[in-house]
Amino acid sequence: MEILKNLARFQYKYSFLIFTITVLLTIVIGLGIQNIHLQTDISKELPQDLGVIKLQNKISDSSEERIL
Amino acid sequence: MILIKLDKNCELENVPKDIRDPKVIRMLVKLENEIKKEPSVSFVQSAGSIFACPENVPDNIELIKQIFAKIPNGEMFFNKDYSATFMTISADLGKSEEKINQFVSKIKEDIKSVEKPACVDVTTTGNPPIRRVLMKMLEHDMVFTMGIAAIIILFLLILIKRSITRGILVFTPLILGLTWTLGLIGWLNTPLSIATVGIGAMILGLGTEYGIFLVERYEEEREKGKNQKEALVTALPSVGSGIIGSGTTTMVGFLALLLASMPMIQHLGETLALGIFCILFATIVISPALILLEERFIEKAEELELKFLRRGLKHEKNN
Repeated sequence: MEILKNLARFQYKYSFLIFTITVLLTIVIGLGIQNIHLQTDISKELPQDLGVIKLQNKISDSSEERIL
Repeated sequence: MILIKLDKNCELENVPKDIRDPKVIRMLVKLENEIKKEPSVSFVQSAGSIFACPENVPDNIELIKQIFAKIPNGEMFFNKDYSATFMTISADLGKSEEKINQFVSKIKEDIKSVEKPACVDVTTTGNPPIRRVLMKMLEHDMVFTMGIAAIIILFLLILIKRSITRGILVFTPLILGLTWTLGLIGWLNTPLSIATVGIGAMILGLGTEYGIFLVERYEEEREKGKNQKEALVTALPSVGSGIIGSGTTTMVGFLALLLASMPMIQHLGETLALGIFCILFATIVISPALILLEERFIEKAEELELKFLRRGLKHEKNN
């Protein structure tokens, strides 16, 4: 594969540049970890277009949800 | 829902033996009044509701029994042996996890703030406390499974490569890929659920082989006497196409989960496919650069060591 040969040549020539970009890229993308949130509401993990779920959502939206 | 029950194993004297005890009912009224202060609370109901304030509760238990006997459905607040009662709370909180957490904490604070008679247990249950417990479990499981997988994989890689630096080298694309995956999940606002909470460990397990193949192939070429450039130009195309093929088929397999009707399974498919892509990218694009840098670093370190040794020998000869 010629593309991989060219990539290998590029990596040999600019290995430190790749390393630097990787560190910066990891910092930027890694900051997104703070935005991770957990979904504990099982009803949100069910198909929302099902009749029973639609009805349940309607009832929950129009009236106060008994939560405790 | 809050459950108030008598501790049947309690051996203290002068403690309530019937849940309709004035001390218990007074506590119920106080707790109800505290909870009603919360702006989000719309409705609270318990055996104490009919008394409105603690001063209205009679001191005589027999009188309380008579009151409940006269009220229609007055007995519905108690169990058969009068050892437990409950309080129902309705609140408009929406579905925000944060609001639910805050509300559950506030209710727990209210329970703590009210003076409880001895040998009376007050516990909460219902959807929000269950979700709160679930969230804590998911957080713990995510960190624990990922941590354990990372430690074991790193240990095995060091053992296989018989070198700490080489082990870390194979492990680096895994950590990079995992960091990118979790970061992208955060930026894309994709929630982690029961199905996806173990992706860290799964991605680490699935992606390890790519790094091993590449490092092994490169070392093979180096052992033949080739220099860094020649070894990499030979190794990357030969093993890279195989790694890309293997990774792509794995990704496609996971992406097929997007066709599932359950969003839970769809999220699992997309996060795993994203994870494999990130590790694949880190292995093919980043890992070779790191291999070269590690070799150069070790070569320089060895050169420096030799220099120091030579200087030391010269110094000894001169003396």
